This record gives sequence, C-alpha cells and structure tokens, in this order.
Amino acid sequence: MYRPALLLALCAAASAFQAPFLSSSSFRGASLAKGVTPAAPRARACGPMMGIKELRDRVTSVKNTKKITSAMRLVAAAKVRRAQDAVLKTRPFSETLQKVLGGLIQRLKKDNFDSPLMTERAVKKVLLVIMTGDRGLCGGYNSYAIKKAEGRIRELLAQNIEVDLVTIGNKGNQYFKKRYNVVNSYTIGNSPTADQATPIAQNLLATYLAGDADRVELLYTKFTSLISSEPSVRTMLPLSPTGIEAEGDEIFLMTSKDGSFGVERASSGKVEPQQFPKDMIFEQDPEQILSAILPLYFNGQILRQMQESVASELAARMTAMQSASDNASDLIRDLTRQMNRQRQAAITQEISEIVAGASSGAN
Amino acid sequence: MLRAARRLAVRVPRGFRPPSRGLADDAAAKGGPIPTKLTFNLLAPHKAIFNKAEVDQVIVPGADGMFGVLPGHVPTIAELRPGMVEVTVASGDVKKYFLSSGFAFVHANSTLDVCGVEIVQLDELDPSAVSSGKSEAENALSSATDEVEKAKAQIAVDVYTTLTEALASNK
Repeated sequence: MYRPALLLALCAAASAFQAPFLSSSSFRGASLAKGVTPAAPRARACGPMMGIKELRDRVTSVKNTKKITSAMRLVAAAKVRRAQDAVLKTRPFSETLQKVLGGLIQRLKKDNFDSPLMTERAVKKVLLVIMTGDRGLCGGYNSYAIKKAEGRIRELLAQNIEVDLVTIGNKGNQYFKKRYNVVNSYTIGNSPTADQATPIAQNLLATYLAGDADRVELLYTKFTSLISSEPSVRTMLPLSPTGIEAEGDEIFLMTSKDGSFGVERASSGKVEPQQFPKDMIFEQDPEQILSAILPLYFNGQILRQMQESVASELAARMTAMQSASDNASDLIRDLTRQMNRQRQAAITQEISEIVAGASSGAN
Repeated sequence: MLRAARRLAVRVPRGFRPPSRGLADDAAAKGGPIPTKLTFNLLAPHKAIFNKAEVDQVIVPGADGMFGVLPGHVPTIAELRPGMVEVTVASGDVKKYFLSSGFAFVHANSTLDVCGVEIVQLDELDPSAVSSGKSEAENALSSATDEVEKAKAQIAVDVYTTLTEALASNK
C-alpha cells in the first residue's frame, strides 16, 4: 500500500541531507573566484527575474572578468619563468660554497670546532621569520602561511618562549603588525635577488649574535604541486652541520602539459662535500675560513627560501586564476543559455500572438 | 702595506704538514701532465661572470697578499680581501675585476673558483665617483665617535683606497 505523505517526507529529508554537499560544491567555485565578481550573483543569474538586457550586460561583465583572470594567470606563468632564471643564476655560487663548506665541516669535525652560529643555546626567545606573498588573489597561499604561523606562535608562547616576528612579504606584515611584535618587515617582490636577501640575512645574523634571539625559525610555504603547497617551519639558526651536508637545491620548471601551463619541482641533486686532498693549503686557519663562509652560506639559504616562496605563490596564483577563469566560462555559458531561452520565449510569444490575431481576424 | 712580508709568514694550520708552495712540479708528479690552461670560475651570488672558462693566469687578492694562480697550482683555500682580480685569458688579453671580498678555491685539477660577494669589471667604475666616495668615507672616519661607526668607516676607507689604487694601475 502506497503512502504518498511518507514518500514526500523521505524526499524532503534526503534533499536536506544532500543540500550541504550541493551548497558546498557551489561555494567552492565561489571561493576560488573570491574578489572576482561573477561567482556570488550566480544564484541571481539562475533566477527568473532577469530581463534579456540585464542578462546581456552580465555576460559582458563576466567576459571582461574572465579576460582579467586569464591575463593574470599568464602573467603569473611568465613570472615563474623569471623566478626560475634567477634561481639558476645563483646556483654556481651557492653550489661551490656548499661543496667547500661541506668539506671544511668534515675536516673540522674531529677538532670539535664551535662557531657561535652553530652552538645551541637555551631558548628563551625565538625570532620567527614569516614568508608570505606581497599580494592576494592567489588562493589559500597567504592564509595557509598565516594560519601555520599563528599556530607556531601559540605553541611557543605556551612553552613560555617569547616570540618576535620578522615578516617577508606584505600580506604577512599587514596581518601580524597589529597582533604581535613585528621587529622588521620586508617585501618579497617578484624575483628575489641576492641584493634583497643580504640585508635580511645580516639583520637576522646580527639579532642572533647579539643574543636578542636564541633561535631563528623560518616559516615558508613549500611548493609541492600546482594544487598543493604545504607551509613548513625550519630552524635557520643555529646552523646544524648535518643539515648543511644533506641538502640539494631545488629548481622550478615551467612545463606545458596537455596544452596548459604547469610548474614542476625538480631537485638538482645533493651537493657532495668536496674531498680535500691531504696537501691542501689553507691560506688562513680552516676555522677562520669556515667562520667567514658561514654568513655567506646563510645568506644563500635565505635567498633560496625566498625564491621557493615566490615560486609557490606564483603557482598558487596560477591555479586560483585558472579556476576563476573556468568558473567564469561556466557562468557565461549558463547566462547565455538563459538569455537565448528568454529571447526564444519572447519570439514564440510574439508569433503566437500574431497567429492568434490573424486567426481571429480571419474568423 | 706589509702584505708581501706577511705573505712569507703564512700561518700553517694546526695539524697539517707544512705545505709545499704552489710548485707546479709537485702537482704534476701526482696528477699526470699539467694542463696548459687553467679552468676558471668567477662567481657572484647573482651571476657567473666566468663559467668554466680556459684562461692562462689569474691573480687574486688573498687576505695575506696577492697571489697568482697558474695551471697546476697546489690545492688552496684562501679568504680574499677587497681588491683586483686580474684574469689573463690569453697573453695580451687581460680582464680586470674588482672584488669586495670572498674566497678562492684552487682544486687539484687546475680549476680555480673565485666566489665574491660583489664583483664588478674595473672599466665600469666611475673614477670621479670613487674619489668623491673616498673623501666622504674619510670624513666619516674622522667624525666617527663610537667603535662600530669607526670600524665601518675604516672599512670604507680601505675599500676606496684599494679601488683608487686599482684604477690608477689600470690607466
């Protein structure tokens, strides 16, 4: 025996259950195009209230928005290339230093060498360096980094460790300057150069050596793929001798897969420490040379992290702009269809009116 | 300056046997025949000025005095002071660069890496700017009150002095 009322209730419950998924999926599209007008009025576009003229206007405006977002995507792609060139130019220098540094550390290991840059101190105060982008419209890139930083700050404060901040990138500065003690802030730019990294590195070294901070931590967003990049925290100072030997440089490569741009991460491979021959002449004391190389190495590390952050930001922007463009295309298709339907309805109505008029006249 | 004199008294690092100075025969005895050219890399953080270039000779400003590197030079690591890097690409073709500070690494296979924090070609420097900069630095030195400022000004004066010397020798 059928009971229609029950069936109706069942349908209502089912749709209520599914509604969150529906709304969240449309919301995802909206959030990707955040700050780009078309997403929010989507519901309105589907409503019956719009006339043909309004619809035509909306299609034009969405088309314009799409032009902007796809241009931004191309600009981001071009910048990735520039950032990549900058990375490649710095490589011979940093690689040579790293090789020699590795060799020196291996040689000095037996002598229990200690440099102020390598000794662990009891941590009372941490200098947290936060790298974000200068501008928005790059998906969750900045907010991920900021959230991670907030988490780290709370973690440190809970351990009764003081935290000072240094922000690299405007977005982080805007967020943190009102909330915490930001001692220094820098912009990150489009392709970080050694000139930019030097003052930052010197400042961090000075703060650390003066004892104003017992540890320097760096929070940056590590680029993993076009759709995911993970923020990570890394201790910069004191330098750990094992860390120096282990790392290889990373380069970002522009690729074109299936006719669309992509960014790939490639590792240049580990830089092997150089084996010094026995009769190597040290013009200065090896310890002195090591002390002089370490700041240069640190400088290179900062530069590298900045470059990696910029590559992540650009990749994030490319993805965000891609989704915004796709979303705009969908919207244009929907709106155009609706416009055509209305136009057709109007024509049909006119024809039927004419036919009705003609037939009544004939009678 | 007593660079030359100090050079003779190079400090021998603890635990190392006394080095035999840059004797070409020495290297040849171990590593086969000495190549006729030196493989040279001149590296700044933002670019590689020479990358695996074949040159005849390079003179670098070691912290303890200038020294020349020829093919077959004994492996060396040296800190560099501000000064001129003179690259003899071939006889008669000499290129001069000014280096703010850095390191020279001579490898056993007749390869020389010079890493400089800042490297410029000497011809690109404006002599009038150098002389005005020098007088400015000297003023700063005489008016400096605390130790840090004084040290900074002293470094500036030293750099400008070597720059002036380098430019004078280039004429």
